[in-house]
Amino acid sequence: MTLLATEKELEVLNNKLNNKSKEEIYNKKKNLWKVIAKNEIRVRTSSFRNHRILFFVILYSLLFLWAFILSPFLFDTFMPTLAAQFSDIFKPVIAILIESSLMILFLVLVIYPLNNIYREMEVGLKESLLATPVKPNDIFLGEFLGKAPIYSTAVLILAPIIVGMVNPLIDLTIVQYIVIYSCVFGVVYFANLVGSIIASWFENKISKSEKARDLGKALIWIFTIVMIIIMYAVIFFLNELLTNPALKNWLAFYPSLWFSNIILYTIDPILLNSFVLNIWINLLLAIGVPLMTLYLSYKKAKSFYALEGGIEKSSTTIIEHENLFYKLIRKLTSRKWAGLLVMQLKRFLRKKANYARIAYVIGLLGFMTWFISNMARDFSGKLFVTIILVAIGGGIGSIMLGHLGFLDSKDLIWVYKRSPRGIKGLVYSYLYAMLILNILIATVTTIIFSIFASLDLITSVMFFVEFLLFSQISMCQAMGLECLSPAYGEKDSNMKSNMMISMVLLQPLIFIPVMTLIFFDIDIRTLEILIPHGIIFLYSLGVSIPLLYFGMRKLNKIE
Amino acid sequence: MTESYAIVANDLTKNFGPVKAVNKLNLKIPFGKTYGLLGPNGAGKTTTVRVLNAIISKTSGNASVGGYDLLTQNEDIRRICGFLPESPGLYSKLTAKEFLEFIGELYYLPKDVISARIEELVELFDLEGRENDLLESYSRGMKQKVCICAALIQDPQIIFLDEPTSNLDPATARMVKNLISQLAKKADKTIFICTHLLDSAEELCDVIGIIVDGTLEVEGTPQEIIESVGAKNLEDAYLKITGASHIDDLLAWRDENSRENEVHSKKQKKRKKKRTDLR
Repeated sequence: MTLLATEKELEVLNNKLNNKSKEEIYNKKKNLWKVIAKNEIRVRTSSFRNHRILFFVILYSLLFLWAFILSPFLFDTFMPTLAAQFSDIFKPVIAILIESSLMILFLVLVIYPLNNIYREMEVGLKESLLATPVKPNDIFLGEFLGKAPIYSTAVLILAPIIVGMVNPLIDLTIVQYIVIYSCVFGVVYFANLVGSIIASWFENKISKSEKARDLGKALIWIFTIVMIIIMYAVIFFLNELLTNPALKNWLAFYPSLWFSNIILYTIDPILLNSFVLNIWINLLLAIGVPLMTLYLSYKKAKSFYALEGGIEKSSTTIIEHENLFYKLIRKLTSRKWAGLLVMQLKRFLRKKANYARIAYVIGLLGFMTWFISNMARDFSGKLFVTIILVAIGGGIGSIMLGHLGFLDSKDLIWVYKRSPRGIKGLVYSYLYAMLILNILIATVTTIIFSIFASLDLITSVMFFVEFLLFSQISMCQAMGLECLSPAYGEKDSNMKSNMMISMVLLQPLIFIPVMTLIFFDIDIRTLEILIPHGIIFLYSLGVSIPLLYFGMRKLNKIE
Repeated sequence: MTESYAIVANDLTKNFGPVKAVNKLNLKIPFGKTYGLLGPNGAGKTTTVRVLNAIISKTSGNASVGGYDLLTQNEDIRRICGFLPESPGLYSKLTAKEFLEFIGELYYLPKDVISARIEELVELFDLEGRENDLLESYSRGMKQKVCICAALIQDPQIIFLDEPTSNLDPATARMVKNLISQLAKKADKTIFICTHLLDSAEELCDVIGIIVDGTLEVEGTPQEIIESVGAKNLEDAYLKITGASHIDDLLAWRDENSRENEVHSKKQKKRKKKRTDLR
């Protein structure tokens, strides 16, 4: 119509277009954020692109059904009984549950936009957008509001749960309903806003540098650890929190508490007595801070929605000589594998996110070991705890680290495949590298277990060897799964499915030893140790080795 | 200020920390001309295009695009310019049609115009039948085609194309080249191309500039450039200007090695002879 039209045609068309579009441009000029928001919804609902309206109708119908029919019915079946049974502590427990659930919700929703950092940076897309008349603040506001329909689902899922918990305490009035829904809405949207700001800042200022992108990933892990700590803290220190409600004053700065305090005030103003901030300050913070943040982020969007930071190349210079650790590894390993092993270790350890992962695994296992060590008071207790730690602990570590074998190495597979070492070179060198990390994890776990369960030296050594062996077998299983369907990215669907399969394969390890101890009456202690341990090892070997064998065969045939 | 020129740059500079990506660039590109910016990797071509499109800010100097000042009227610059980025940037979860609709809306185009242009561009770029497929299923070349469509959808006065034919198959590359030349000749568009492909530049561009380490080393018609350095052709001239014409040295190590090997094998033969003589 216009591009290859003759000059005459072009002139006529352009005049026509100019007259028509000038008016529309004037009308539309201030509303580009709407175009961005609409597009954001399109992108997020692309799976239902042929039935978008129907999708939203069904989704919200189901949510309203849950909010106004299913949830009240469900909570009415047991909450009044619980309220009557634990009438003396019911109110404070509900208060803590509301506070902690909103705390976790806030953290989860802050983390969610950070997942974008995992995405391959779409510089071209950003360039295309910034080359149009759209302003960075329109992009920011549009992207934020475009997520609204998706985030609103969180409000309609969680608010009815809070209503269901509170209802047995007081007959909620319509105002209280509105307050609860508004507070959950506030938490959800403010968390989304904070998450979007942090994610945009990471994406634009530092995420083009691999090192900084790694830091972003580490941040997600740190937030996840904080989330787990909150969950465990609530579970383990519930009594402490009930007797000393003033403890939460330490978290007065945490935004979700401003909102939960408003809910608590509507239930019973006494619940807020021990808190350092009164209802008016909470109200001021809950309304003022999100609005102020939205306004400032809109005004300052240019500083975190630009390409400036992305173009700057930050390079990491690696010193010419290898550090002591790598030298030691080279000396300890056979010449055949030393080069590949050191290369795998460098590849793994130069990513900051992997340090966060290792810390996460060690932290989680340490916490788990400390927690269940209390059960290891007698022989059966120790036996049970050892098996659980070895099987589940080793498995968790492998799930977290073992599935990263092919990360960012889609092209590397071909390099290995063409080389005389073949795929074996890649797979075995990664397993060797993981063995070194497993030694570290096994050492920390053994030390913690030995201290808290008062183990003697021989038992500690045996536990260490067993833990290490089991971790490595599980690592083979993870690697086998990766060989069968390689995941080249952290957000790859194969990664998720492989991890899920690993989780499922881990399940029998919880039941097999317990069932053995229950159903087989074994009098001899040595057999009592050997049989359950033997069974879990046989099971793991039986699963891992074939998976690795067939996985490598399949990978060898990859085309 | 500069109505007779589509693009004017006066001492335009862009620094990234201590790195001078673009250093005192001076340009004067008349309306309706096709300008080719050539240079090795990291020379500052993409940064120049980004600065001129007001995507990133300049450090110093001044520029105007389409008569609009880069600093104060950057929204107008973006409105009248089409831009094809170096790497195809698309929403993978949108269809080509949805993506082009989105870009059209960002340029304030009325819906009927958007639909008509999409129809035309889809036909022109041979995307018929695939326009409703998700972009994630497109090949790199097809994504490039969609990006070119996006750059042309608002019928821009000035078009910036960063490596327009880099991912395209020969037939599409030829079609894009023809399109560029027709856009310049028939529709009187000003086209600014960044490319590595010297033959394309020679064929399409009225004026060529060669940039090295952020500095514009030479500018002129392809013939002027060739003559200015006494080269045989544009490739030869380019290699001379960018200082990359040491191809003969590249394989020197092989000669050295073969000489060393010869000496070594002669020595070995002598030793063998001595041993046999002694026996």
